[in-house]
Amino acid sequence: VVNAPRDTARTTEVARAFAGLTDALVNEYDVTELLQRLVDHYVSLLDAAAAGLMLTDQRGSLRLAVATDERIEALELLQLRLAEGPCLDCFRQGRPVFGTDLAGDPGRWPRFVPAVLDAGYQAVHALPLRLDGYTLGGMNLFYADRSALSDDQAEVAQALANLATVGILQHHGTRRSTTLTQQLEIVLNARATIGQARGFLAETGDLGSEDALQALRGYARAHGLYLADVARGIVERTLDAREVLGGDAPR
Amino acid sequence: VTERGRAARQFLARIAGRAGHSSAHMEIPRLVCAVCTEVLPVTDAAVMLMAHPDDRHTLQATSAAMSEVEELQFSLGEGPSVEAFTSGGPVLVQDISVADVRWPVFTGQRHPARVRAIYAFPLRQGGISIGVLSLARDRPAELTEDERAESLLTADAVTLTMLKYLHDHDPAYGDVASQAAAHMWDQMKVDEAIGMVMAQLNSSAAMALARLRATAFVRGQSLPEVANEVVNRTLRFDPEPPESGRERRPW
Repeated sequence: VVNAPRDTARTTEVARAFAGLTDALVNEYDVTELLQRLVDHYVSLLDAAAAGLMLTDQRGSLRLAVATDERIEALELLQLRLAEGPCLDCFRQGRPVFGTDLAGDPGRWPRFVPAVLDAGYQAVHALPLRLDGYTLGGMNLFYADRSALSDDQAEVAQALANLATVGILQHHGTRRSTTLTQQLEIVLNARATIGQARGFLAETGDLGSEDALQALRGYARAHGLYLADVARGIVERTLDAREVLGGDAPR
Repeated sequence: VTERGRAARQFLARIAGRAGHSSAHMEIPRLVCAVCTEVLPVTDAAVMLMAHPDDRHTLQATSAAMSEVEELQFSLGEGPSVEAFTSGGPVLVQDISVADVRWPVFTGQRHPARVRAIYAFPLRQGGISIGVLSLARDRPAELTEDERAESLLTADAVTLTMLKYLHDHDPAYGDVASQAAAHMWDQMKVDEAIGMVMAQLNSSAAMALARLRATAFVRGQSLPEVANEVVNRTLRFDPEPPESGRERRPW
């Protein structure tokens, strides 16, 4: 339950976040980065511990698009492997799914719940990305305590999910006429290039996978570049991995 | 998951049924096209293999008309198949005789009567592009959601088939099918491993994948198993001259 003074501050924060996101949408943007910002907003605006986004592969299943950290990546992939969990239910049913007290309801997703509890989360919610009756994917929120979303929070959560839908659909929309089918594949493919760049950085800098991703994101942010472009540069060797790794030091 | 594995297995079984043991690997693109028109509700199919849009390599098609339409697109540098390759997402066009601002010169040409609708799918695994699968119908038509899913699954199977043949010309189909099933949830680790091996070998992504696959084949392991060892740093690759007598391919 959110009290009144905090509510005002929170409202301002929500308004700022939406202003920033919609501002991005009317300009040129990188869709992976926009989605990454969205999952980060779930943490800051809705007090989630972590968040992840899965998108339809248009072949009858889901694939991971972005996540706030590596633990969530593992849990999202586990949902896919087990073929059970809130995101899959949300995707199949096309509506929000709230797993508020997982410890008290372990039978709901019998194989997924123990892994979630092990990872330190007590509640998981999933919100659908919907467009005109079609479900594109699901946004997952992970909470360290047994949190239920208030009605207001659920509304903000769904609005952010809707922005993700618009962001995917609208990408390149002003310059090129692309379709949702094409767009979804492009988003999921961009993830592969980022994964390769991550491995390349991990090997070159002798880093862990998470640190490699942070180096990648840090370099993109510091140089005002798109994450996907930096990743492509590393993979295609037009950008020196050592320069990306030396991001903190002045060049 | 099972959908993907099953589709790949069926597709490969059909190819295996058609290809003799001694069949030259360049026979494979032709068989791939033929099988596509058997398993999907389309009248023509073409496979274009290439590393870059301006580096056309191999074209196979089920008819002279389809060849003509594909050749035209790649010589003009515009059209749905070119767009699918460059964007990395499927491009579905109901009727190529209708003017389209995305490819004005192409739609302005007179096309053979039997090619009206074109559905172009990039052949990609992770961030590696090897070409385009173009499917055609002899009348204007949209793909239904189910047909789109089937086509995407088929394009995945074609990608794996072509990678398999291009890299090691090995007729071990079972390996490819299990890889297709494992592909989805383990793709992330595979991508990271590709990036790490690229840094170890100072090679392209395609070459790194080829080495990973060859190792998996020799050891009788799956690709994700080998990828995990690389990511966990229990397996490293040393730069080696390419095996003598084997042609180096650009992808």
